[in-house]
Amino acid sequence: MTPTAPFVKPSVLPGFRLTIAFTLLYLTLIVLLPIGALLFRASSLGVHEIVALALDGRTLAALRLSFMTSLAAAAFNVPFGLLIAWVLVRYDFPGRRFFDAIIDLPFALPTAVAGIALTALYAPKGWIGSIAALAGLKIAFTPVGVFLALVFVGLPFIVRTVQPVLGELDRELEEAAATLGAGRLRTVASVVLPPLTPAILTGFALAFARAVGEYGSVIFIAGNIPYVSEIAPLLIVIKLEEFDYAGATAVAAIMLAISFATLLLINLIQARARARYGHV
Amino acid sequence: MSDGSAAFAVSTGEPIAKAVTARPPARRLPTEEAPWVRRLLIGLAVGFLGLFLLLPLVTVFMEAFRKGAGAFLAAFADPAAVDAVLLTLLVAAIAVPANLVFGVAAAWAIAKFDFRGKAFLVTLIDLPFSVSPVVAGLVYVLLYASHGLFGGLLQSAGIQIIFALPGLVMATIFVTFPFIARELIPLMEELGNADEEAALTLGASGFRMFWTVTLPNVKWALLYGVLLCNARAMGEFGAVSVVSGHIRGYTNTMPLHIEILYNEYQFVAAFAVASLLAALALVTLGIKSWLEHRYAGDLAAGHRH
Amino acid sequence: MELDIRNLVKTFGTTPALHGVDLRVESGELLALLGPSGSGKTTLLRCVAGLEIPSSGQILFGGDDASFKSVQERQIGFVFQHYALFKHLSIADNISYGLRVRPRRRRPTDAAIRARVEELLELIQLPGYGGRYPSQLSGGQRQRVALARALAVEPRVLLLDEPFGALDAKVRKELRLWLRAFHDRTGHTTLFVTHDQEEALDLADRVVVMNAGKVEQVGSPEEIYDRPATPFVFDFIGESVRLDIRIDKGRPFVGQQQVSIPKLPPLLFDGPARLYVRPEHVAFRRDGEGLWATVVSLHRSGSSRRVGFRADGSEALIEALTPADREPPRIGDRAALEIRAAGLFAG
Repeated sequence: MTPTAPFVKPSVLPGFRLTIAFTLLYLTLIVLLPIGALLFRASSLGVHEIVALALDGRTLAALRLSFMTSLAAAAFNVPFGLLIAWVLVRYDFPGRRFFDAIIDLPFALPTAVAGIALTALYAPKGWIGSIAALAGLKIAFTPVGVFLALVFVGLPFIVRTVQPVLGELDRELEEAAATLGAGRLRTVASVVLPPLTPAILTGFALAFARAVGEYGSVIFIAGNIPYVSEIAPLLIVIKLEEFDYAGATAVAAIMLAISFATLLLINLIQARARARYGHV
Repeated sequence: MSDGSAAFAVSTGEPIAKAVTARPPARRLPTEEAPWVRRLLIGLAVGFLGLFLLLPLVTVFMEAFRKGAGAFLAAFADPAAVDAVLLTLLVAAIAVPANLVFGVAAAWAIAKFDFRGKAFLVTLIDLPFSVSPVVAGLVYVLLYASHGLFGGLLQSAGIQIIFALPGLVMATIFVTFPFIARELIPLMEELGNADEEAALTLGASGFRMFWTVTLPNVKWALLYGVLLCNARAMGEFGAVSVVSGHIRGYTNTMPLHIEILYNEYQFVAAFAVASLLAALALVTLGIKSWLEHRYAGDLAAGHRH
Repeated sequence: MELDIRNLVKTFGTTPALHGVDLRVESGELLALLGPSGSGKTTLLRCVAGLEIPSSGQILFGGDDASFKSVQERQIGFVFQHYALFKHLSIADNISYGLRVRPRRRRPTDAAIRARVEELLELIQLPGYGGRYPSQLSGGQRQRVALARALAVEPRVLLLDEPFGALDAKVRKELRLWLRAFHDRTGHTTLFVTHDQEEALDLADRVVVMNAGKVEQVGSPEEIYDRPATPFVFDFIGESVRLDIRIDKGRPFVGQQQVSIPKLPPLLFDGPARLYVRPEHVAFRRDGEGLWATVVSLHRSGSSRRVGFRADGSEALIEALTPADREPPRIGDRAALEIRAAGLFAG
């Protein structure tokens, strides 16, 4: 009765064959085929060529800037994301629901809008930029601006991965630690943070992956000065505009490799967390 | 229970509300922080959110109205702006329903059935989240541009994909691909198969079961997925920018129009168009916040069985 | 260490949870807090632990007022219903947690901590399990680890919240016997919460029956079962039926029939009253003196048979137990009931 492909557990529910076939077809057409085309192009370039293109000073500088500012922004977001998740889960205060909703703003706000808004804010004449200028600091059109844009983009990833885990954390664990004599800070450090670690790492990796590829919110504030504040995704666009398809493909292949590595890392973290903590 | 006095035993436990000893200094539960710690943490969190999220948002509207409502409205008198709005709506009107059909089909297969390679399939569905939008645009260029893999084929057939509407739509579908499926899969997994099985035992056909049982159970999650997908589709910039070729009035979506205006130093106009998209984002978030209250209740009701 | 609870009151918002509880727990005693859910037993336990802040009243540990001490300072051992083991720590690290969090000058050396962990693992009969993680243990084993963790800090009082609540019936019984033997060996002053009367009566030296935030009765398991002090205890412990009766000139009547109940003190009031009777205290004969009644139901229940009677002039169902191998009466038969023991309450 039920269509039973050899790899599916029999079920009385209908529609598996239809939906899985459609899912795989759509996935192939929209995602796998185009990415396959990129990988195909990259492989026809060969590793040597890719490395040679990547080791070009300007490309290397762009990749390094993207990588380092993304790491820094994700790392910066960890303590603040944790703090915000903690405050939203544990405390009730006026406006809590509003602030909870606003966390997703970087998800919902178009990147170009965020980009021009951040630029207006941090530019030397902007609200924050003018204050920074008094202290002799330049934010917009420097790597600091890139970093701040990536902080904006990455924040929700940390908060939204930590928040549900923190919410489900059994208060009994903290009570148990207290009955055993642990003070509050000790309890939080030794009993609350360890179970949150997989979520924190996952959030960090997601924020990093997003930041490395981010384009719209960064290019306005970056100023895009070669060797200084030019990010890797922009380099792809520039190479495309110069009809340098090989160059664009090489940079994209490297970025795709970073994406895949990050995805793999996230899956490893989660598999380890499941194996370790199980269900107690 | 009314407490009868025992005939042969001492009656115990008169309700006692007397003898309240002097209140001790305020104490807190062992799992709570001191009030000053609490206030400090809330202050820090709110301060951070204000500085990093609210301030940019406020800036959009401030800049849009910097020269008054007239200048704001003038931005939309430009036919290019109108064309950009229309094109954005058109792209979303194609991309969102396509991803809706995909999201529902994928969620059905993944949440309701057990099959080998499921985890891998879910990872693949998430893939567009971690691919740079620029790379997403590039892959379509490599496939369909005149010197791309299928470029020659398409050119001889007279079909233009890159620098045209189909390219915009495909790039948009790519970047918003996982949104609806991601909203549905966890919820449908949590709800289990019992409701659908009940409908089948009562004689419902597959489609009837889906319309009358599955869909009502997930309607709020579905709605939110559609809204989020829509907000992202209308706001997509990087991928669309790569495939558009910036042909003004023809392949210019709202975000691309914003970029052009900004680069031409027409800041008020740029922010005016941006404020429309920001308003759309705010509406999306508002509905999400409201839905979370609603369908949190729906979910709880589901658990009560 | 003995424990004194004086006039403890706790309200959550406006909902009262404890209405002035007085209780003394003797040193080395194993005491059960028994009651239905919402009776305040867990709240009482958590107030003793310092996990809940009482609205008023005092808690004394060996004469020393602990009311204002934090949970960390109270030196209690608390075993949680769902164990609350730290999943990210090994069994050994769970057990030694309370020793390791001590300030340096009071913390034992690493060697001493290891020795203590080994000793406790031995005591809970899980030697060699120190390197495992909680997710690798069965429910009963986790429960014992939770106990070892609580004992590692040498608590003055051991508190257990529904210690067997999350276990299946068989493990529950085994662990119950084990806990009793364990207590006899170690002799900690122990307070445990349960809603299972069999568990309380089986295990405890004394039982505290609680209801609606008050102590109904405190006594040995025998006293609680044989001499319930209040209608609630009669209802809650064991089985009983309630008969609405009338006292007339010091004598109890069911309908028009006078009933004789042995060992009843003189009745000093007249008017309506309630009589609580356990099935095992009801005997029946086909003739002779007694409360005349009609057989209305028959049920086989394990090794015995339950016979249901309706006394003349009463609507209540009075049940009696009779061995299953004895010839049962038939429905409609008449019999004279003898009530060998009962509780009588005015009102």
